[in-house]
Amino acid sequence: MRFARVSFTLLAFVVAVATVPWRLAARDAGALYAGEPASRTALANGVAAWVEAPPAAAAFATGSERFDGEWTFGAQMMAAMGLAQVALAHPELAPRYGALVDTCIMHMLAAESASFDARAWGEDAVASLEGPRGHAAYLGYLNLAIGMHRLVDPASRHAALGDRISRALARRLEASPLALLETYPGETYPVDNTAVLASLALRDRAAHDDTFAAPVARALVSLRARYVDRTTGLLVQAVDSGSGTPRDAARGSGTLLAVYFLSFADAALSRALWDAAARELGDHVLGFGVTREYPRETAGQGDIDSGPVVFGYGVSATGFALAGARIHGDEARFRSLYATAHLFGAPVDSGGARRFASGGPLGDALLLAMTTAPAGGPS
Amino acid sequence: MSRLTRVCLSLPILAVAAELLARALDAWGFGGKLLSMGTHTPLWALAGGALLVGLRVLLFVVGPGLVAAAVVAALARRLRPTEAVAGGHGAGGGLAWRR
Repeated sequence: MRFARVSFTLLAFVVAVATVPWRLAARDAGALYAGEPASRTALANGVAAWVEAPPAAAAFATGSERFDGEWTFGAQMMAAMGLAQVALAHPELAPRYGALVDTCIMHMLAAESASFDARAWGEDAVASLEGPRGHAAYLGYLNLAIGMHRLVDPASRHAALGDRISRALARRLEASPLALLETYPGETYPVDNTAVLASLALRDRAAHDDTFAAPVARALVSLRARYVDRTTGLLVQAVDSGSGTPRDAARGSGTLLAVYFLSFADAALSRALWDAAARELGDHVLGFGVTREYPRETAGQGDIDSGPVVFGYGVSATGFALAGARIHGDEARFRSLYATAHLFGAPVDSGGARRFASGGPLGDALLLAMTTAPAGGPS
Repeated sequence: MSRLTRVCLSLPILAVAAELLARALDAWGFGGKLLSMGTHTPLWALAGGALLVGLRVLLFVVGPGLVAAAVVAALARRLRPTEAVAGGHGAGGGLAWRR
């Protein structure tokens, strides 16, 4: 009898651990997936606090001045994307969040934010728009934020700058034998180029014309043919700036961020990458959704792009996958991924705002942008 | 009260501790340090991260299992086989509520 009692107790433990925890942690996911304003404004208000009192590069500890700068810049960029998405979905919130997007752009333009890129190139990205050099990440991400601001506020004071950046990016893309721009001298990342292409598509949408449709279409054809891994269907993380041959594996962090960016430029390619990522990288542990940084047969280390990689599962890839799940209508995966973000993110609610203790400014901004990514892609 | 039940009753205390720790770490700018984890991550952030994750896994993952196990164990103690009664009344080995 004692054996039966112990067996039933153990069985209850196992069944409860396998079924209850992830559902508990995912309890807010349904409202976020449905786009309910209350759940979104809590996240947006948490990010607003970072925008109003932006963190210094010292808030991060990557061990590299460049990466600390990148992360400070990236936090503002993702904050702009998330706040703009909420403003576009809920027009009554547009005045407040639109103003915050403007503030994000001003932070991104500030010399301190731009210095990580300027130091690498030996020139300021905006001051050298007439030149030939890439600046793919800085200009692509900045131009995305500007494009979103123009959608929220058609009278955006950044519109003229957005047009100048767009002309420079399109001209450089057309001149590139790889149809890719360098992020830093000698460093070329396809995912940063998906941000460039998304920013050009957004600019056209905001301006109601198709000025950049042709160069974007040509670059997308090249991206699909040359930089999507034929075996896995994932996006190659880095390529040689001279030959375009892969310098890194096709990986989760790059692919899933590209799924989000490409939803603004090429819904079909975004979908194809999402399907590949879900197939090759998606997984569950006790119902909690996780995403591999590398395909199952590929060994690899964590780095600045992946964030911490634990048992093969990447923090960045798992977070970015939230956007793909929402954009491409995979609610079950969205719930399980959100459960993981909730469990390890440690949300802290205060005064109508939600922040994630483990996320900091970049984590909060990313989660806002990813969980509010427009279902079905931007309309 | 069984040991398992006592453990379950301590879960609310752990929940308060985890919430206070998360708020303190958030106030100290812990998230940025942890997410960019590397050789330059301060020791306090690594220790805080390990403690916070440990507490949350205990609460959210192990906790529901402990509660379910405690409930089943308590039910099992109440549901015991009746013993054969001399004289033939109520004889048998079936389960009956213990009184």
